[in-house]
Amino acid sequence: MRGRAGESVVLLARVRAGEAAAAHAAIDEHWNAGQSPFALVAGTHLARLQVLRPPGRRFRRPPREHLLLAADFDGKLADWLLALRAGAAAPLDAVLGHCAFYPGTAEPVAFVRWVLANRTPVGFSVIGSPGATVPEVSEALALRAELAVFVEANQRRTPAEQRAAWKVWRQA
Amino acid sequence: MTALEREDIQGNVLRGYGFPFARYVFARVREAGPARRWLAAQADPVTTDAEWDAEPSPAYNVAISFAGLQALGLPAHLLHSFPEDFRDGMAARAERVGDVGAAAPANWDAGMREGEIHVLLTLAGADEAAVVGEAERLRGELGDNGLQFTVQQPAAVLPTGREHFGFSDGFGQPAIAGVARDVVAGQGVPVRRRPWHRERPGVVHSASDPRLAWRALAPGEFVLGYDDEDGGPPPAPLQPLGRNGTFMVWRKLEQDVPAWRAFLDDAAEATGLPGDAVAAKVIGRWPDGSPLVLRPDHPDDVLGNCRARVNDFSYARDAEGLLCPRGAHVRRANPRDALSGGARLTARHRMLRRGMPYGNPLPPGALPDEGGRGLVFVCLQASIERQFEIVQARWCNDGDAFGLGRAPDPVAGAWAEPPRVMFNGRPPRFSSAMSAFVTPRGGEYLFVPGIAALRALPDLASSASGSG
Repeated sequence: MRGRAGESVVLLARVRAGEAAAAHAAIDEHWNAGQSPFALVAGTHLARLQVLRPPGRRFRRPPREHLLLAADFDGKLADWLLALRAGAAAPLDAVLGHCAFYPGTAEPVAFVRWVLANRTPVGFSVIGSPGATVPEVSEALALRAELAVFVEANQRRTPAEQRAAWKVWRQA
Repeated sequence: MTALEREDIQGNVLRGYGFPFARYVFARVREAGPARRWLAAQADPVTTDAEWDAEPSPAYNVAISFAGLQALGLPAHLLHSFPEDFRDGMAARAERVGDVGAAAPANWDAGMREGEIHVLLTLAGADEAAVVGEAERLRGELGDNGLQFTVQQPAAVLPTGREHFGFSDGFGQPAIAGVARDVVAGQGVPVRRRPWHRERPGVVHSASDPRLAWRALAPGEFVLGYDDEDGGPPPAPLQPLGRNGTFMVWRKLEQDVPAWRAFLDDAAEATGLPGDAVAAKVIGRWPDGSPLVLRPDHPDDVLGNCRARVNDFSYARDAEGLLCPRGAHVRRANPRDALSGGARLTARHRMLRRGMPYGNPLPPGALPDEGGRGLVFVCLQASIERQFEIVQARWCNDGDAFGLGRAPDPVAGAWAEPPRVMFNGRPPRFSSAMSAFVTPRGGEYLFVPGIAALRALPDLASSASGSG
């Protein structure tokens, strides 16, 4: 059965005073080095974790840094959050732990509630293949790559030769 | 809209000079105090965007890297107010933009490696002798003023008027709101045109599509201190540096012309397509500049030379890429309305391109030689990460945004394994690229300060650096 594709979440949480550099360092340590923990969460199309410094305004106190977590994924938000919590609890806590009122991943209900409380509306989101789930995209890309090999090898042959090659390729 | 302070914005930012000769002179800061004073004194001779009484001969501009600002002794709070991408510098972010392997910073040319570029002096003009002479004069001046000349890079428009792969270049310059030049169809943001809409300043109707119009981009996409497409000013350093400046990406890109020609021959053989059609499908335009979306089957030099029409197209009617392949270079570099986020998304990732070829052209049929040739890629933007790095890393090095998986742009992209290039059509055809055609040889992220900011440099010293 096909999953539902194209859900999005944008979380914007205030970073505790004086902890922006530590949050930044945690992202570098846990998320930018090697494989991203997001890659461990099935159904994630695209995800981003970043410390943002909103632009300042004249005569106003300098704005506080915020942590942005934005993602496009398959299925429902709650399911994705729980999968994220299960697959990336430690790196998640290392970064989000610098945000105000973050309860940690140990208690799933509090974790999801905190995310929902800091969720902001999504204006639009951009992924390469909207409407398709990650497995569908992966399958299509793999098939495309296989077909490309076949086409490149046979594109100058006669139609009869191509048909014969196609039969062999299908059976392989 | 706030009027642009053009006399405080350096020239070649809002409007390209269009001169045929340029020389890029690089220097390192040796003594902070004298260097700050000398750079501040350049505020007068530097060419601005204000209207000229006479053509400058040559035009002269100044840019400074983060390493340069550090060496100039700017205080920590001012340095820290610059965006992280600029503070990191190009070499430190090499993996992010695909500068690995042969393109890695360790292999860059001497004088253009990590931390070696502090100050860039750019000279451009119509008279090559004047450009060279002024470069030599400045070079002689540097040593007495706390700066040390390191290297220089000449560049010149080729006799054919095209870049080394044989293509007319530089079509996709964004139109900027508030700049006097008329908005040309195709150079701004495509917007849906309604029957009751009229042309007004900053908006022009498409001649090729009655449902399409073009509006100019907000100046804050390119110049600090003005509202951008998101409605507010882009992140900028603290004053006095945060107004009328911009960020420059300077890259020396070596082009392997024999490899490019060999690829075209191989691809023509493999696909059965004519060689010029193969090249056009990889680039997205014919060599004369006529776009495949408007002329999918043959070049049209009348269209290619018509400034009003050559950019007047969108990809809305070509979602499958049957006219212009979805992975074509120009479609990746400026997707217009081709992405799922539409033109609104593309508008946040535009760049002002001010590059120029370097090296001698390699005649057709000539054997590979030792002479280096390529493109001095120069782009200007308010945010290096949001504009240059997104276009390079996400759109040129990767194909996901276009539904192409990891397929890179064979011309401007970086790849670990040779890509299989798809030529959309019925049926589609494929050919493999064997080696990279374009290899970075050096570069840096630089800050192009406003004139007032440049003049204020001597007053910005930290107490630690002294007055020199």
